[in-house]
Amino acid sequence: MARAAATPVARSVARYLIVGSGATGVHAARTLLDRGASVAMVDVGFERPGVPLPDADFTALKEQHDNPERYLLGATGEAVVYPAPSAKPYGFPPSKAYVFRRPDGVRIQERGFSPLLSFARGGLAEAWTGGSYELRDEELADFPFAAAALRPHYATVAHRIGITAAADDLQRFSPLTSPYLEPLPMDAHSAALHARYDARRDALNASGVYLGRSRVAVLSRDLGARRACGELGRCLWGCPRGALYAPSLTLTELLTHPQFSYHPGWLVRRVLLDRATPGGEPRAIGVEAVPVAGGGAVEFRADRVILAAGALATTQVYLETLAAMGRADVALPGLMDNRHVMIPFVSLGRLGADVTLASYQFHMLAMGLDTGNWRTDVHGQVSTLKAASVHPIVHSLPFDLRTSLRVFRRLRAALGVANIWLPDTRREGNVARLRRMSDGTSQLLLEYGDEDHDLVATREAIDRTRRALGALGCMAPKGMVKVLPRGSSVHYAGTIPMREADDEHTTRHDGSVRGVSGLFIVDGAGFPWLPAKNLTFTLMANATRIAELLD
Amino acid sequence: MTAASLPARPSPDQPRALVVTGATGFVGRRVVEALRVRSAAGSTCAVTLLVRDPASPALPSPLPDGWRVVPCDLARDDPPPGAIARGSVVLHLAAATGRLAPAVMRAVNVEGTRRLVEGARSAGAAHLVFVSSIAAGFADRRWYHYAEAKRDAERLVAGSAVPHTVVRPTMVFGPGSPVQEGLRRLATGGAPIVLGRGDVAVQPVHVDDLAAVLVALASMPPGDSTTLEVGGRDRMSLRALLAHMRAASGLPPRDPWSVPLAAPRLALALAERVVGPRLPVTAGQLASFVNDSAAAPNAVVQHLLPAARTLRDMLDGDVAPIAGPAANRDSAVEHLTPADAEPDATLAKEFATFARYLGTRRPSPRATSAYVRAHQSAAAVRGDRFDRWLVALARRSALACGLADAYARLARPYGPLRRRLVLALAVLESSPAVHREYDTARPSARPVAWAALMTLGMGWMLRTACAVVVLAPLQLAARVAGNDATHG
Ligand SMILES: Cc1cc2nc3c(=O)[nH]c(=O)nc-3n(C[C@H](O)[C@H](O)[C@H](O)COP(=O)(O)OP(=O)(O)OC[C@H]3O[C@@H](n4cnc5c(N)ncnc54)[C@H](O)[C@@H]3O)c2cc1C
Ligand code: SF4
Repeated sequence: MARAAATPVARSVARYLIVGSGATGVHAARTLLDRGASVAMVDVGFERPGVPLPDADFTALKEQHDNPERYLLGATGEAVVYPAPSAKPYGFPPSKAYVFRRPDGVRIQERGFSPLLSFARGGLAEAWTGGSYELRDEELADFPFAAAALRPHYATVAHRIGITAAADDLQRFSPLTSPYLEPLPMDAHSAALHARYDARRDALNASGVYLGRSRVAVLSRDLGARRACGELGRCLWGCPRGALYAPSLTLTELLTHPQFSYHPGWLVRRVLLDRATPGGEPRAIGVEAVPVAGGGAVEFRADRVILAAGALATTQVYLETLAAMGRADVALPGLMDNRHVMIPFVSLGRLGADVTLASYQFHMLAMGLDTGNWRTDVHGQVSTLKAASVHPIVHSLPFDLRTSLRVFRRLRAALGVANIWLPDTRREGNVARLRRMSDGTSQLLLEYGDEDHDLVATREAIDRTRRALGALGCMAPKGMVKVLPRGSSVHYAGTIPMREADDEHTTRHDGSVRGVSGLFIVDGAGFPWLPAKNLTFTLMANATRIAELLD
Repeated sequence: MTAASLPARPSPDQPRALVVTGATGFVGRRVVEALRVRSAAGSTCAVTLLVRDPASPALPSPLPDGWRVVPCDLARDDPPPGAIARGSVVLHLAAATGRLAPAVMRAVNVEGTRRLVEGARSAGAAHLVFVSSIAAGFADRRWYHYAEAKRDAERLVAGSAVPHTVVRPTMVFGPGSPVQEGLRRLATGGAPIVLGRGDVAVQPVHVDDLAAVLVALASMPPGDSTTLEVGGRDRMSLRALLAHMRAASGLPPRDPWSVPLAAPRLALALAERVVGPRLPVTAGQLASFVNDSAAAPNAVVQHLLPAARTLRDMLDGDVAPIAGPAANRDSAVEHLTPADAEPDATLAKEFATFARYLGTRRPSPRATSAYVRAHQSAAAVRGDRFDRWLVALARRSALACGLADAYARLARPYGPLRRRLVLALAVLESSPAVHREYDTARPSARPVAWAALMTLGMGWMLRTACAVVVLAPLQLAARVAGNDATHG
């Protein structure tokens, strides 16, 4: 660690110091503040640019913005998705670039793993699609606490952020124990698929396929200063109404709290430890951080340190902390991410239909594939094509571009994509560790390998989904299926798992890190298992649960 | 074998003379690089590179101190006197591989080896390390002239009085590996195939791991084991290898079709007699699909290469980048030099033509300037001569653009022309006056939509057929015109 540059200034901040303002950080903070504690949040915290024309829908935006080409594609076309063997049918727009920006000095080496990290105010969920599902009791079996202990915290989070849901066939996969909002009205294409499912429910259920409304952290009625979804179709570019939940909305609320202090612009390197009692357990007394703008390291002091930097960044901070204790060569096994597959389809019945671009843009339907074993069940979300950047889709069609464009416009109302995820388990060979570079800095090295049975399960899930789509009147060409590289689901977990057994590099049920007192982990690094369904709702509920337990 | 019976690890700066043949080949280049690094780290070993073409750009330049290049074509000439110093170690990598007539194969691989062995013997070399191939041990070497030649060369080395080690690498992977590229093509095609049943064992080794073993062997005395097979960490079936390669490219898993081998091998063997080595594959190369090519475990190799790279490491470069601002860039882009810059007026005209082709008569000045500004990112893939021809053709008129695009979709889907057209499309769909022509549906009664799709399909077939007739010969011509760096 390059600490020689300047004498660190000790800043004494609060009882609790939280690293990161992502989904987990803000909800842990909210609960601690509600309990009357003082909280300091240290964050890199890149900021979201202002949102232009907040009341314009997607089409009006193109017509009224003073430079829509620049807003949508970037000053030098950086958001254009060019044809490539691995190109996805969408890309992130320039207005979301802040979400994925990396500060200098954060270096990650990947082998078989392509991670996305965020250093934004609000973290990755500034760009999420809001899918929020409670886990079933059995899915919490590997966690060192009773499932019932988590339920009230799902309710707390649902109450805070607003989640739409319907009581339907998906309850088989995800219970509805929290207060939910009415779902948004469905777009015509989603409604047609749903109606078709209703008509063939028995046959589909018999083959283990269940469909229902996706559960989404989007408002169907106003909540505080946030306004209900106005069907603007700008969700991907950044919701101007605060309808689609993002953690920065909670952060904005926290900023008005007298007991809360926010310190953006700091990259935390490691946890500071006090080793006063020789032979005793070291105690966390704060963090060492460097200014993102460049400059010497500074110490932030607090009584308790809570890591909420996102599973991968938390892993890095933890490893750097170990390295400063003289343990540079620790490899943490168990890195997880859901296998993510995109299955584009065409609903033949919708050929020639029109499409309303001003409509909630992301998924409205979700799907469960029952495999007969809850550990291997597959989760899916179905998005019909509404407002979109169309060129990535057009150039993926197999014709010349002019023909592809014309075919695309005829098919526009019939297109959609099913995203499916498979569960992941902790495995010895999938590790995170540090790699020391010759210049004294270090990199986080992530290594991931698939096993043959992963490939088999993936193939099976693809085949079943394609068959299910077929039963819903859709054609899902095999050649268009994309198995995304590991790391693409952005559901990271498992490196410092919560467990009962007293093992090294694990955490207890209350998030406390074994071997260091006063240090807690509240993000995905602590998850002992990764179910197929989107994990962030559970991440937030768990962070809230832990914050409730802290002394 | 216990550790005690292993050769001692060599001290890295043991002064010794080293003679390397085949320094400009795929493996040779990496060996030379490893030696160069060692020499930069202070090794005083004198290195002689025995090469056919002393002007080859693959040779290190400048040569490190104590290195020299000696021209010698082993297929014709004996090593010149003085090329091999007394007591030196000879690392023999020169080989003829791929599609060559059996006579050429033998001239280089057998006769060349005979000349070198003789030169090494008469000069009093201390150790000859001969790089053979796992194929030399194949049980079924029918029509595989390369394997036969390597086997005969091994016999020559074994029968000589020079202390020697024979190294048989498995399939060698790594950047620029022809085998890896060939298998990747098989694995990632729209209809992936596997020749034979695909259940033979494979164990690819990374070229840098192989280079490390060779350099280590060259700095230690010859051991007891005279034939060392060198493979990577992972051993699997050929079918599993293809599945991993496919997965690493981000493609959905798909069972490859199994193509029976007996008939094509026979047919190729007969055809080779008639047309010589002009066919895309040889009957012999197919032998890799019927023989196991995993390495026999060996303690010396284990000692020299305790942590061989895994398959995952080798496929790493193949892993598809994810979308996201950073990932919208592709890794393979070559950046243009200022000399390549095209004048704005040319680009503006190009955009107008492309817009007309896509359906917009007069794009706005702001859209045009957005195209010009973003052009750098579209042009970041430079392509080869044929790609440049396609762009030039597409600029001529909307009609020509259609032909060029139809052909590019088949032959160069990720090339410069398609990138430029996609940029034009992205700009137009964002542009106020015209975006509706791009980002909305074209509603109609369903039968009308079906009919429109049929018409579009027929138009596409027609355009593509014309494009193939006109442009396929042109592509061939571009290749013949030479210097064609067709995507590697
Ligand atoms: C496109 C997309 C779609 C998604 N869709 C869904 C979905 O539908 N449903 C779902 O459940 N999940 C979804 N996710 C995943 C979800 O966004 C994440 O699981 C979630 O945001 C993780 O929250 P976190 O608090 O653990 O960490 P993060 O969001 O990673 O937040 C990390 C925070 O820590 C800060 N930080 C990191 N390192 C440091 C450091 N060293 N020093 C100081 N500060 C630091 C960052 O600034 C940031 O504020 C999606 C993600 C993406 C990208
Ligand atoms: S959630 Fe999407 S559709 Fe709803 S208001 Fe926000 S941007 Fe508009």
